[in-house]
Amino acid sequence: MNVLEIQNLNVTFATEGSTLRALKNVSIDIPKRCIVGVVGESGCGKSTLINSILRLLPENGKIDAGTIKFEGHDLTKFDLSQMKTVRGSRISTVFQDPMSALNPVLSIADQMLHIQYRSKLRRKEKQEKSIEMLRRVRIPDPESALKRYPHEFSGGMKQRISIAMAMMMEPALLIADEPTTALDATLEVAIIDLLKELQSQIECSILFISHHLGLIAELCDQVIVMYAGEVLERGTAHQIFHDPWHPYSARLLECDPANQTSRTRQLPTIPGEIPDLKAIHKGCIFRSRCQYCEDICTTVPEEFGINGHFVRCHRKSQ
Amino acid sequence: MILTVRDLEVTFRVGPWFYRRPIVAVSRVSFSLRAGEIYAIVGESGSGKTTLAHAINGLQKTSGGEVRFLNKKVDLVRTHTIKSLRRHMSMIFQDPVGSLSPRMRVGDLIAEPFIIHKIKRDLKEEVHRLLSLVGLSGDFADRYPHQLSGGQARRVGVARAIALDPQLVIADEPTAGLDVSVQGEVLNLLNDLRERLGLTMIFISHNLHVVHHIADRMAVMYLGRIVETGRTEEIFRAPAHPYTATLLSATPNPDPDKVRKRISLNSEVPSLLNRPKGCEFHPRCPWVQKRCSRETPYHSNQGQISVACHTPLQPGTQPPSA
Ligand SMILES: Nc1ncnc2c1ncn2[C@@H]1O[C@H](COP(=O)(O)OP(=O)(O)O)[C@@H](O)[C@H]1O
Ligand SMILES: Nc1ncnc2c1ncn2[C@@H]1O[C@H](COP(=O)(O)OP(=O)(O)O)[C@@H](O)[C@H]1O
Ligand SMILES: [Mg+2]
Ligand SMILES: [Mg+2]
Repeated sequence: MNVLEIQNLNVTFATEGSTLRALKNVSIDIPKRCIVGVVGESGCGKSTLINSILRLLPENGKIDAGTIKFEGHDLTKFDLSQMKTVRGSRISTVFQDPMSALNPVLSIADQMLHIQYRSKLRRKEKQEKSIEMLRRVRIPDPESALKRYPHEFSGGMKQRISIAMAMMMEPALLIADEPTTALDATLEVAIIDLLKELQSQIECSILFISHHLGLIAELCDQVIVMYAGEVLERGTAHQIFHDPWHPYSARLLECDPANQTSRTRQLPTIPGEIPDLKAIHKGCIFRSRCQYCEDICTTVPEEFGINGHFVRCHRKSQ
Repeated sequence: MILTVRDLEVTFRVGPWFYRRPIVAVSRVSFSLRAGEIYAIVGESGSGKTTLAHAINGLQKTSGGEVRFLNKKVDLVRTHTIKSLRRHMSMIFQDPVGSLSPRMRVGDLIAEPFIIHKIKRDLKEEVHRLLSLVGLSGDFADRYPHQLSGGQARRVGVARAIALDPQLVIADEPTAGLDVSVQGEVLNLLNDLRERLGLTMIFISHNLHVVHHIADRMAVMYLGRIVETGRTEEIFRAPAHPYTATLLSATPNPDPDKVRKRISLNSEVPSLLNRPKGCEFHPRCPWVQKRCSRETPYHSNQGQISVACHTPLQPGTQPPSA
């Protein structure tokens, strides 16, 4: 069973004089109790994907085609108040900047009570639940932490609190957009461990967005590789990291400095630039930077797949 | 020696006027640099890397110690020496786009150092020479900063920094925030320029893995102090300070099937307002012993590495099981 099924999602932004195609025929499944990672470099459409699911696209953005089925309902058909209900209880979010989830002028206690406004529990019980949640994300001395304000916590602690708030209502899906990017390495791995632990307790699914391959490898069951608004490859973490089919995925893995265990003076790179999404592209979107580019690549590659491993590349479908 | 830093200290006063307290952001830092060498300074955010760079460059007042550059004392009071200092010691700043004035074209940005230091050259020719050195084509001269990608903006920052053939370049997190495919480009460029121009460089980063490929020697900072320093390869092979070992193990491996042996820390970085007694890493150290909370460790040599720890790790040491 899938919590979320996205089919053929197309999203465009209206810009001065032209249309920018930010997502093109994106299809993604998130199974129940599964952690799915999306990797891709800046501008590939990660935030647009999340904003489409949450229906929080900027004003000039529009879903042109496609369906986003969440627990059986198509979110693209929901009105604002229906969406609000979903966002508050069934889908929750953690962002790079924890302050986007925290209100600077309210105490932690007030904010955690506010999240539970739909719950039928009594105030005292809600308070206890808040303390329990803070304890689970390892905030030291949670009783007194409740009385404090966000600015009194370090960046790492603030992110833990925002995770506690996101997990509080036991959502079916947690969307985490680069939640560790602003943190130091030692804190990054601690947050990853925490997400893993909470996910198995709450039995939710996680859509984890990151450009950090190492974190994705550690945390995720399944991986989706995006490039310039398209899904180029998807499969289990093992398939993607051990046997990448798409030349872009393979190259991206090579570029990770953590993959270069011995010292080298010449690090691998991907020459060229991401294509201009305002222009019309023929064929494979990665073709201009691909070392294996051939004549056939000017036609759009069909998706090819076996055993849950899918790729859009002529080298695999031939 | 091109640069000698001795017992350098930087103190800030923080808090409201009625309750000002001093924090020591850089504390007794000493090291020296030979010509042609790349020296890396690594540490988590807030460990004092940028403050140290600014103190060396004369951008930040110091409260103790001294910096000698080309056998002259770097002295903030003497504006004359500061100007000649900047001519020979340049900076690549942390924020690539933000450090370039938005209304100037790339060509003017690269020519600016010549104008500031009143050096008469054919500016057009210099701009093209520098653009090609950093791997950008000549038509970039007409672009504005917002028309550059992150990697291109870094290249322009590098071009500005090497414009006047400086003796020393200080690069503050030159690859932070870049995509991995672009990060390698910037590192390759710096490595290449080092070989072609014999650059001497201080390379600041919070990412140990980046440092591995570029630095000859490195220093690890914690709460404003250097806790370990030595040849990069040796530190990577066998870190002597528990903090370095922790940082090295904190990098997740891009292989989902690998069993992870991670050293986990007991708590978060302490505040500079409240430095722990004894060894300042002891509250977080997995190998902590009784004396660590009482006695301050001084630097001693272990092989070629200099380390401030009572019981430095021996090669192959495993973390104590919790
Ligand atoms: N409001 C907007 N108007 C126009 N273009 C946009 C807007 N938001 C994003 N884009 C463009 O859409 C593409 C995808 O952006 P985004 O989803 O933010 O990527 P990512 O999160 O992967 O870095 C980029 O080319 C970006 O410039
Ligand atoms: N102008 C300033 N006034 C007060 N404190 C400062 C100032 N600049 C830096 N600090 C403090 O000094 C410490 C070191 O900061 P910084 O050198 O920026 O660290 P890094 O570059 O390693 O992240 C931090 O605790 C920071 O808050
Ligand atoms: Mg984004
Ligand atoms: Mg800094």
